[in-house]
Formats: sequence, C-alpha cells, structure tokens
Amino acid sequence: MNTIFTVKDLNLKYGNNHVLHDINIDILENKITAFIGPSGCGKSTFLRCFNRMNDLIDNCKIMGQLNYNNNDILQVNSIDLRTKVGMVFQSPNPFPMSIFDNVAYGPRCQGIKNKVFLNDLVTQSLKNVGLYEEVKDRLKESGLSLSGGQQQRLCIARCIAMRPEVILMDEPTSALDPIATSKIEELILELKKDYTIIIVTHNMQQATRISDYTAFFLLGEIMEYGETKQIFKNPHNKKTEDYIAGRFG
Amino acid sequence: MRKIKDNILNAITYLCALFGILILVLLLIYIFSTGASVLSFKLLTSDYESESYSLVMPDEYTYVLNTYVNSNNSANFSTKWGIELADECNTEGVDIVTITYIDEKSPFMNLIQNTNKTSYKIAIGSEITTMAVYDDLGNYISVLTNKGAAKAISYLDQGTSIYSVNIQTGGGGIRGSLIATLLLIITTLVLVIPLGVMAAIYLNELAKPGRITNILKSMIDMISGIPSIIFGFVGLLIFVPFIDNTFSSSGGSILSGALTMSVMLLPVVIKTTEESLKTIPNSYRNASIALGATKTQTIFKVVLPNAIAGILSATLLSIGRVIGESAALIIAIGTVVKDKVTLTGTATPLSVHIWTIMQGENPNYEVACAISIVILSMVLILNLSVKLLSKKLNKGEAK
Repeated sequence: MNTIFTVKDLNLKYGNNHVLHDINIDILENKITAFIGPSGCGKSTFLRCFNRMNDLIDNCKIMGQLNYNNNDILQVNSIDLRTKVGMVFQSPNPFPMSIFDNVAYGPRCQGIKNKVFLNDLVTQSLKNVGLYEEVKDRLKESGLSLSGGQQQRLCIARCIAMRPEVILMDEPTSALDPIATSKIEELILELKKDYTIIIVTHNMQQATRISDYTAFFLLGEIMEYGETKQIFKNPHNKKTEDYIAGRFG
Repeated sequence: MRKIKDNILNAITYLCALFGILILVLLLIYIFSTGASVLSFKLLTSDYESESYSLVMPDEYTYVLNTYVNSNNSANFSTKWGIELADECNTEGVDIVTITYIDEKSPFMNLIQNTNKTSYKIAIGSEITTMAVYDDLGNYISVLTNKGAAKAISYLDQGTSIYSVNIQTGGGGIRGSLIATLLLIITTLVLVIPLGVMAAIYLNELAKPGRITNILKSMIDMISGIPSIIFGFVGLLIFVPFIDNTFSSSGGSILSGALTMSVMLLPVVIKTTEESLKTIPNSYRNASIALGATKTQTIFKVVLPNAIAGILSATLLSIGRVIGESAALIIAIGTVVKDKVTLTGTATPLSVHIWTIMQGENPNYEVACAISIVILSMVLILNLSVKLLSKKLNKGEAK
C-alpha cells in the first residue's frame, strides 16, 4: 500500500493561538481515512492543510513537514495542488449558475474550452455521483434548484470533474437528512476505488460505516490513529474510549 | 396613564407622517398643475433657438385684387389676403399669433427675404411677430399681433400692399437639453461604473485589511459628503482645460461635465458595489479556490456575476444623481442652451436648462415645471425598469 501524504511534526498557529501540536500521520492511497473528535479540536483545520486552504486565512503559520507524493505541500504551487486535491465542504455550496456550468467550472478555469470534451466530462462526472439520471433533462437550470442532498452530490461531481487524486470532505453530510446522507455514504464507498478520501465527521457511526482508518483528535493533537475496527472495538487510549463511548465530546 | 402616553406618541407619529406626505403631494400637484399646460410633444422636439425672418414683397410684384374663399369658415380669415391667423400659445406659454393657412394664390406666397432677396415660403405654424402694410393712399399701417389674431386681420384688411412681414419659427423647445442629458448620463456611466466597480473589488476582495485600507475607505466616505459645487470647481479647474487642450474646444463641454460627475459619483458606486460584494457568501469563493481557480478567476467568474444586482442599483443611483445635479454642472458645463449637442461642445442638461430659463427678468415657471415633469418621468421610468431587471436577475438565481 502506498502512502500518499506524510505528515511530520506539523504545528499550526492562528496568530498566537496554537491550534495543531506536533501532528504525525501517514495517509494511505485509495483508502478512506476519517478524522473524528470534538468540535474545535483542529481536525477541519488539519484537513485544510492538505489543499492549502489555510492560505486564505490571515496570520496562519504552518511549521513542520507535509509531503504529498514526496513533494513538500508548503513549497508547491497551491493552485496546481488544488487541482489534484479536491475538497467538498460542510454545507452544499453550488455556484448560482446552471448545473452544467457548475460541473464545468473547474475544467474551464484550467482553460479547457473544447465543448465535446466538456460535455463528456460533465456527463461522466454526474454519472459517477449518480446524479445524471435525475438532472439530465435540466442541465441548464440553476444548481440551486436541486435539493440539499442533490446539491451536495453536485458539489462532489464538480470536484471529481477535475480528476483529482484526493478528495477532502469536511463533514459533507452534517447538513443533510438521513436518506441523503446514506446516498452520499454509498457514493463515498464507490469513489474509494479511484480516489483517496479524507473525511472529517462528527458522526461516529458514519466513521465506522465507511472509513478504513480513523484518527482521533483532541485539543489539536492526534490521540490515536489506526484501523477503524481497532479504534472502535479496542482503543488503546483511554480518552479515545471515553469519546467513543460518549462520555464527553 | 400608559394609554394617554401611547395616544400622544401615536398622534405625533400620524401628524409627522401626514405633514411629510402632504408636502410632497403638494409639491407634485404644483409642478403638474403649472407645467402640464405647456408640456407638449412640440416642447420636447423643437429647438430652443428661434429663427427670425424679415420678409418683404419684391418690387416687381403687381397686386391682383381677389376674393379668397374661406373654405374652413374660420373666424380669423382674411378674404382679401387669403391667409388665416390663429391665437396660440408658444412652447414657453406666451400668447402668439400664428399663420394656419395660406391660399396658393395669396400674395403671401411671393414674399422674399429682406436680407438676401431670396424667396421664402412661410411654413404653416410660423409665428407672426409684426407686419406692416400700405393703404390706397400710401399710408403706413402697422399690423401688431399683441392684441390677438382678430385685430391683426382687421388691420391687415385696411391695407392694399405689403411693406414687411416679420415671422419667427420654433424656439423655446428642450430637444437639445434632452439629448444633452441622455449624452451626459451615458458618458458618465461609461466612465464611472467600470472605475467604481473595479475599485470596490480591490477594496473588498484584494486589499489586505489594515490601516491603509481603512484610511482609503474613510476617505471615500468623506468624499461623498463634499458639496457638489466644489466638484464643479474641480471640473472647471482640471477637466475643462484638459478637454479644451485635448480636443481644441473652448469652454465647458458635456465631456468635462461627465468627468466631473464621475468623480462625484465614484464614492456612491464604490459603496453600493462594495455592499453587494459583502453579501456574497464566502462559501462561493472557497469552493472556487478549492477547485483550483485563481483569485482573479474567482472574482470575475463567481463574485462579479453575483454582484450584478448591486452594480445595477449603483447605476440607477448614478443616473438619478446625474439627472438631478445642477450646481456642479452649471460650473463644469456652462449655462448656454444649445440645439446642436456634441460631446466636446457646451450644452445644458435639463436641470441646468431650468436654471437658465429661470434666470433674467422673466422667469418662466410653466416651462420650468414642464421640464420638471420630464425629469420626474425619466426617473420614474428608470426606477421601474431597473427594479424589473433586478427582479428578473434574482429570479434566475433563485430558481
């Protein structure tokens, strides 16, 4: 199994606020890795390090080593990086433009203008997320006309239209109802074949259902990292056990 | 006790509201009742400058006595001369006498211009200012028109040969000023909207928040409080010489006025656009950045299209200000009403036209009110159309 991300002694500060302490973790290729932990423990912040979205935040300092396929993420061009490492956000955020334009947005920004190619790409991406049959007659309609679950799948389609290697998901189902959530979860398992997925979740059942590996964060540190089965059935750390059992968090 | 207090407060509220609305309604009633009588299509389409012609009879003309048929049975018809006169009101609301009919064989068809001795065909509707005729005995009879058409006809019928006819065509219209207003609006918008929108994008999207940005923003706030006449002087001192040198024109011009208005409106456009940029959720920007778009692509593909509503309202505000502005434009353009309007020549927008006709000894309230009605309806139409447009745009997003 290949390691796609290697993180060594990563520290992150927002101004004087020390958010992440000495993070060490290896993320494996074509696996689903879940980050769990109470709110404010730094898991979303850590997730945003992988595609350098923290660059958008003022006064954010990152120290340590963060390698992607043996290249230092902090050194590479952030825009090229984001075409390889896609991201899906907490609440569905399609652009207020047509469904087609939403999916074609990323490729168009890369300068792709070929209509036939874009058509195929959009169709394929929508098929991959199981949305094509539902929207094939109304690709010209606004992306905001879809339901919440459909919007989130549209956002995933928009992300995979870039043909990334990694998809980062920041609580992708927290704004959705159970049926939409289960659809997204099925989709994530489906996508595992082609993509490496890192998912932040508050829902521990979700982590057990879909992830291969789980990292438990607490106060900006990784308390425990291992196979999901092991973490949930036989945690080595007392705090992990307490959190999973619902004693705090 | 509480009831009495409430009643007093309610009464004050109602009174204030009533008073405020009453003033506005009265103002509108005054404008419409005064202006409606002179507001006509003719006012909108005719020139401001009137043309005067002094006409005489050629020496070789021989008068043939004839009795012309009063086919329309009109009261002010001269069977002796074959012309019909009428009492009318000109575009400025002044009583005048006009020619409404000339028989084909009438001596009035043979008049020539006194200055260059070329023949001149009197147009129907021309105003007759004065005439003079001779009677059989060679007595000079002046035909004045200030006592109405009937009197003029009776004087005219006493004569047997024509000495002179002075006529005047058109005049008093606002066509030139109407065109000047539209030209000024378009030029100003072309200048100010791109500048203001780009500045707003810089301030809201690109500038790092900090002391310098704050100073810039508060300076922009300050500029919007400067009296417009100051901008007029800025225009006079900077833009008028600049335009004059560049286009070798002289004096104020529409272009210098548009430049002045642009400077004046920049803070309005920047502020309005900035407000609408602020309402665009950050999730759009994040999604775009996460898809590998550059900051510039994000601004022009995601942020700007969503700010259209704000840009539209900035446009509307600007148009309203341009139509209503007079103080700055009096200085930056000038007060000479022109019929031929060019971008680099002087002309008056409608508001300055009002100022011009209210100057002098005989301020003309009727025409001023008529122009006010024109301005009011322009603003109303613009308001409605922009509201309709933004409604349509919003619908397209919400669908």
